[in-house]
Amino acid sequence: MLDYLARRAATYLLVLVAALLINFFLPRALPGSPLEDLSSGVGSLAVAPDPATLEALKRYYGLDQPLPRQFLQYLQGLARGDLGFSISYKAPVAKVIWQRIPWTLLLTFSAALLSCLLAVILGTRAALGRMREAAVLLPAVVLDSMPPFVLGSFLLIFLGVKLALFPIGGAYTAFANLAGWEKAVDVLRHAVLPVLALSAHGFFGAYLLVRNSVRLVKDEPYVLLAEVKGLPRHVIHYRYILRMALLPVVTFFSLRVAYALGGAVLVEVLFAYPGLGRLTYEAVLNHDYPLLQGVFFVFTLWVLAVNFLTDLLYLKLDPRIKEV
Amino acid sequence: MLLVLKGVVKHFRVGRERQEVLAGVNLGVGRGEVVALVGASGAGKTTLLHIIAGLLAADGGEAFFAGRPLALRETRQGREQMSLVFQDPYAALSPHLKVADIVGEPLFIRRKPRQNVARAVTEALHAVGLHPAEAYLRRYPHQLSGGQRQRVALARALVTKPTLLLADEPTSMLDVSVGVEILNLLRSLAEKGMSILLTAHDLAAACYVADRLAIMAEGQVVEEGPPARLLAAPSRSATRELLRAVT
Amino acid sequence: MRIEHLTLKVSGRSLYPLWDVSLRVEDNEVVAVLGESGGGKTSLAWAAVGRPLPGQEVVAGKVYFKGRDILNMPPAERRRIYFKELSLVPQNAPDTLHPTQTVARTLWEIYTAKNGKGEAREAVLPLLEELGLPEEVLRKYPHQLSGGQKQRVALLLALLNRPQLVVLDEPTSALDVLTQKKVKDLLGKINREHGTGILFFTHDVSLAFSLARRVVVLYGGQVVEELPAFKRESALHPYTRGLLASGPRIGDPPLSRRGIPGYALPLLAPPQACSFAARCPQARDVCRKEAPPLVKVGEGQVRCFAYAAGAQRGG
Ligand SMILES: Nc1ncnc2c1ncn2[C@@H]1O[C@H](COP(=O)(O)OP(=O)(O)OP(=O)(O)O)[C@@H](O)[C@H]1O
Ligand code: SF4
Ligand SMILES: [Mg+2]
Repeated sequence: MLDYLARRAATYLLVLVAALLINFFLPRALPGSPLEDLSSGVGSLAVAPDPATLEALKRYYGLDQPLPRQFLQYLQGLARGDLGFSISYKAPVAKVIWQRIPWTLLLTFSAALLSCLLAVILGTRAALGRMREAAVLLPAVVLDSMPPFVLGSFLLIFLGVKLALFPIGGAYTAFANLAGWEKAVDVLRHAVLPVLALSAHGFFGAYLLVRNSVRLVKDEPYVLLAEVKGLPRHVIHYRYILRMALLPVVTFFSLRVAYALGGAVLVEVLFAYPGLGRLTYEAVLNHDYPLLQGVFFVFTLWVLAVNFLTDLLYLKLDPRIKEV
Repeated sequence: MLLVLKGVVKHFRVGRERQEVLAGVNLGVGRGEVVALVGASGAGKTTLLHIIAGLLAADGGEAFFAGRPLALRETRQGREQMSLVFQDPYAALSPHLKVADIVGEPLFIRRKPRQNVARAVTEALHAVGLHPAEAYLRRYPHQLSGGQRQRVALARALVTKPTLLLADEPTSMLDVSVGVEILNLLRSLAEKGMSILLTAHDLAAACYVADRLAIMAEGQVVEEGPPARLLAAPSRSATRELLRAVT
Repeated sequence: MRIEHLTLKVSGRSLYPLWDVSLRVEDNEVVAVLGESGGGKTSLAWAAVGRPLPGQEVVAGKVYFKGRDILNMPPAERRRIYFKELSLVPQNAPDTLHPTQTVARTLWEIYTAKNGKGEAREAVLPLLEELGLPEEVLRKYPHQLSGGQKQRVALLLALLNRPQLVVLDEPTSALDVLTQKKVKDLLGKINREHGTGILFFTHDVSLAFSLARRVVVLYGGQVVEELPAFKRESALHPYTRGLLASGPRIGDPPLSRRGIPGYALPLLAPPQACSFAARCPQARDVCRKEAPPLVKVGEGQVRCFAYAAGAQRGG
């Protein structure tokens, strides 16, 4: 068991190193430079700085150093928990990111949870013959073939603008100074549309996975015998069928959570949601290397952490795994 | 002796542990003799058979086949005169090949001319009691009964005219009413001069076909001899235990 | 238990795993159902406990357990009976243990489901000992046990609540000879000491005749003969006789035994001939034109024209 964990950890470390390398060099391969943006006047600086100032700025941000040197400094910074200083936000990257994380967590977890939960309920009912599948299949296929931001646009226009059921942007009502329950409701209302847009996509896959998995498991010899053992129905349902059928769904869920950040970018931009996704978008537009690096670094950690937690969870859920 | 084994050793790794499956097996098979390896599950019968057939490399020991040394660590050479039949006739035949191709395959591999192959296949099918052979040549395995499949597997083993036939539990997957015919077939092949080494966990079946029993326990041949003598006066506890289980 | 005129059909196909099968097991009795592959043993074992295999349906017949129709019983009541009064050990018993639960948990689950809270341990330990299982199997998961151990755990599960009847499908065929012997002895012992009735299905002729008091022979989904075990040597039906003649016994000289040529075919339609006719050495014209009835002969019953005429004439 410890052996297994140590091996997994070593693998993750390797992936992390590779990811750091890519994180560092990829933004620098993009055309343009952050200071160019500043000088062209689109940024917050209204005047074009003279060459001397540019040099000073370059020196200040360490951009005049040779690349390997910059990389070393980057690593040293990481070790201290310092992700650098955002050029466009003029604040420490770690701080900027930290403020955005909760919002993205809220979106991605709710979306993955919603689609998986619905998939489990409907998929199980379909597999056990308690529901007609046709009712689910058609809408699921249509929704699934739509990219989240297209669906998001529809939701925005119909539910947000036409029917005005939900707010159309932001994560909370600005300047409302709400507190307690009111604040929670406000936040949830703002999350509804982006969560819907994110969860519809991928629901179909989850649904098929659950349905097929339950279909296979329900005719397994140990389930057949469980019925003849006269165990209570809920025990057979949950402990014998669902528990085993949902093992693959755990992987699916964790993949959804792990990679939801990518899907969240456009949806967050669409709904002006202050999460990591929109931050990435801004960082790219502004050529904010330190910020972009920071965001990617957090993405990497995120994916690795989710994977690692899934591994741990599996160890608990399926003892057969320890042997391999 | 056609086949002589001396001190054959084999280990398997199970996790971190090294498990000794064969702990120095000594055994001989004479020409035209039927020898049955008998023992409880896990005694190492199949492993030994696979080593002789060259499917597994041994970790130690020597062997002689037809008077020449047989490489036990090198698994490819010196096996032209042997054939192996597997335990499960339902799994051993490729489902997408016709009987003619299944039986002829060992000859095709040896690049024998097509006509000779066809003749040899027909002979082999007759030898295992599938006649007229034409009725079977174009069938697929799923169109055969279990006993017929085992016969096809045997025909495939016989088509190269081996001097030694290795058979791993040749009847354990078959109904008794069918399996006994396979045992009879093996016996009559031996009367025609073929040497056979087979494994069996069923003592009665082993006694029925074999000239000599070799009782295996814990990776060794603990006792051997003609069935009648062994059963009348078993000297080892492993033998007595096996005997008690069936009577 | 009484099984009356049970006919099973594979759903959506014209294929009958069982045709008009009747069978009874008295209190404390040991009955063997003997048959070779495809005979319908597994189908009968599951239908006998009131839960036909998936894909099969009951088209006729009834199964009574302690006088009550178990096929049409409300599911809740059936659940109360299962593994308390009536247990099943299926053919692939090793695959029927919950793969991600320890043995202890699976045992505890069935114990508490039937007895409410209580000390399952006290019921388990003596049985472990009788089955020759070390106590540490309790802490293990199924994949950590050998096939023979799993088979015995399945048996332990079935016997835990001391049922009145256990139904076992091929209880020994997955085991090596030494373990087979242990299981056989154990079954004999629980029958003697606890009065547990046993209905078991096997292809092993010597197990059937040595453990059971009555043997029912199944061929092609039909009962072809029923006889007391001590009448082994005077079996009547050509299939039973062929079966008895084919398994070599210790001391038989080589080539002294004959098998039964050919193989069993599944029943595709209501029988219109003797299902054994294609393999039977005594087959006559009538055997291929009509289905022989099951008639009483002496202490047993047999389904064969060779005896049908005599029985009809005699009464
Ligand atoms: N769902 C099904 N679909 C098709 N055929 C079936 C189905 N269930 C049973 N059968 C057929 O019914 C017959 C009886 O099957 P059953 O499994 O009861 O035999 P058995 O006596 O238990 O055989 P074995 O000794 O091999 O276990 C066989 O011919 C089998 O192929
Ligand atoms: S009825 Fe005819 S074919 Fe069938 S067993 Fe009797 S003699 Fe043989
Ligand atoms: Mg069966």
